Amino acid sequence: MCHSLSQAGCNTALSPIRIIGVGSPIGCDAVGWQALDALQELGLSDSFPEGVVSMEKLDRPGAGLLDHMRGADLVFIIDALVAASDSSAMVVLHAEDLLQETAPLSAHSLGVSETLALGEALGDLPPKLQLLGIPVDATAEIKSDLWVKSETVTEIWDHICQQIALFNPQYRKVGAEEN
Amino acid sequence: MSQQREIKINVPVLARVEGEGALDLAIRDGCIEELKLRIYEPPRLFEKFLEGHGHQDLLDMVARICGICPVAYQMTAVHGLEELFGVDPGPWVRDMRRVMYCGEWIQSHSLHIHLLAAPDFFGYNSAMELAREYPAVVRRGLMLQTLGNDLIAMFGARSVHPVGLRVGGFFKAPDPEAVEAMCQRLEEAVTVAADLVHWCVGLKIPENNQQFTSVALRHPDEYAIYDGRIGSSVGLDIPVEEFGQHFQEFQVPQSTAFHTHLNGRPYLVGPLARLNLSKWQLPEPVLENLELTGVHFPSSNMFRSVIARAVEIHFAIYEALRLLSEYRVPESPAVEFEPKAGTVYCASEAPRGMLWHSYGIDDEGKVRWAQIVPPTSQNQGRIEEDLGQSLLHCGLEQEDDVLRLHAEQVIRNYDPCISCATHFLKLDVTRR
Repeated sequence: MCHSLSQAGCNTALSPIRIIGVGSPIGCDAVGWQALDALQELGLSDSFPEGVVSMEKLDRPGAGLLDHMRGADLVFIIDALVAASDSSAMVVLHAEDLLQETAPLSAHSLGVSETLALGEALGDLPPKLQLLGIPVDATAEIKSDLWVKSETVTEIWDHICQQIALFNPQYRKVGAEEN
Repeated sequence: MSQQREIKINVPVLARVEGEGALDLAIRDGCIEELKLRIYEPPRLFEKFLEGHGHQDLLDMVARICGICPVAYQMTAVHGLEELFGVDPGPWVRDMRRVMYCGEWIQSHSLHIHLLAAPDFFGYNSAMELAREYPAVVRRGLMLQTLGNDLIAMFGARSVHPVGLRVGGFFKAPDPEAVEAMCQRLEEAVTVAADLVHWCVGLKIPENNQQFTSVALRHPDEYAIYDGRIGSSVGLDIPVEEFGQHFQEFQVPQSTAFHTHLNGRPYLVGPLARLNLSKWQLPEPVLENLELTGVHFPSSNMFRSVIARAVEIHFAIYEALRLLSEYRVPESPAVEFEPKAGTVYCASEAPRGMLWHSYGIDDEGKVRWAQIVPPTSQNQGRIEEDLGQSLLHCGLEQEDDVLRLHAEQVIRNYDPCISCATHFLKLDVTRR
């Protein structure tokens, strides 16, 4: 996995399926990274044939996100989602939900959705892309450094395995669903 | 159109600039009665947040002022602290900081040219529209931006709010293998950047010459980035500690960011000001490439800022490559130091212009007070002055939409970072 702190030297493997945690190290924005760490520790990429699934954490990549998706067939982006409710259930957003062409574009506000809109205009988006949003309440009292819940990790795991199996059944390994 | 009309134009949100602001324009009998660049983002109070924090906290905190130019804030502060503490980190650290700073110029200028400014020159509303018609242009911008970001990350571990700088040097020297790979990319990018200069010259750039004073750091031996004396196009030549004797920060009702004047008058900082003052210090290949375009600097046309940015990208890539070409890993990437109490005055050239800091430091190296004057604060008065002249030049009888677009384009020439200055554009035009 390419950690953000080594992103300068990161050469994303040309794996067809990529799972990208977007965020930063501190606060609720770390939830995407924490989810990715948990999936990695549970052996998600090892549940598939070697070279099929790669995982990396990116620190507020801006338009650089497009580089990390280039050549992929299926991309999952795990990111924090500002939520009004108390639910911690994962929210699945598809590329078409995220394209915000009308949003004013500035170099400072080149977030995931603006980057995806730019990628769509360039014809650089992968054929299939999903954003797995983990709801966070940025105003909540910080009680621990851990923002991702184990049940959310399980939910993400199940969803990714299911989607990969649907996308290309050859990529599914025996036992993947048991984790 | 009758000259007797009273017109009021309001641009409620200015797109493709950084932060939130607005422009109020009132026209009476064909004359501008009121023109105000309103900056209404809440004050961010960074200077107060810094008080009581130690020197390393200071470097981490000032980086948070801006996601595009964190390196500028860090470099300015670290250099000032080292001056106060009497630390000389040596030529390796100075050279590598200059390389890291080049990375920030490359990424910031590339984003501005391709995503923020270029749509104006092609008549598009957004970078998305430009990307559909001219994908190669936008891809070039993204490639250069990534290059700049990776250059920053090579020293700072990450490109946004990097963490590699410390008083005395760096926490870690880059591996030679990473530097070698970077040099290969820089070599390829030099040609791309040289072509970018010609591409920018080929844009439909309006002719609109105005009189203004250019202000930038100047260094006797190099095109100033990291340090220097404050110079101007009207003969100013002062050390950074004398900033307060010549420059005045003041509040205006329409802005939560201070305005700054030089001896009571607005002035310009940024790429055009730098090129106007220091073009002769560009490396020969960069200068020769610029001469081939037939465009001359100094220039009094703010629309040529886009060319100035392209020239500085070419320069920054060339400079980074030069400094990295004989890279060696030092025995230590930093030297030790003891904090000292005193007052710090420091300045460097952020992508958007001169950035000036001053700090009171106690004997433990903690911040007692802080004063930070970002480039956009300094340019606000010049932007208002430019708008007044540019809109007259455009013709006040023009339709509101024409005036609005022209005003936005004028403002974008400055690549203002309102978030840094406090912190874009709503235009409110009243015709009376």
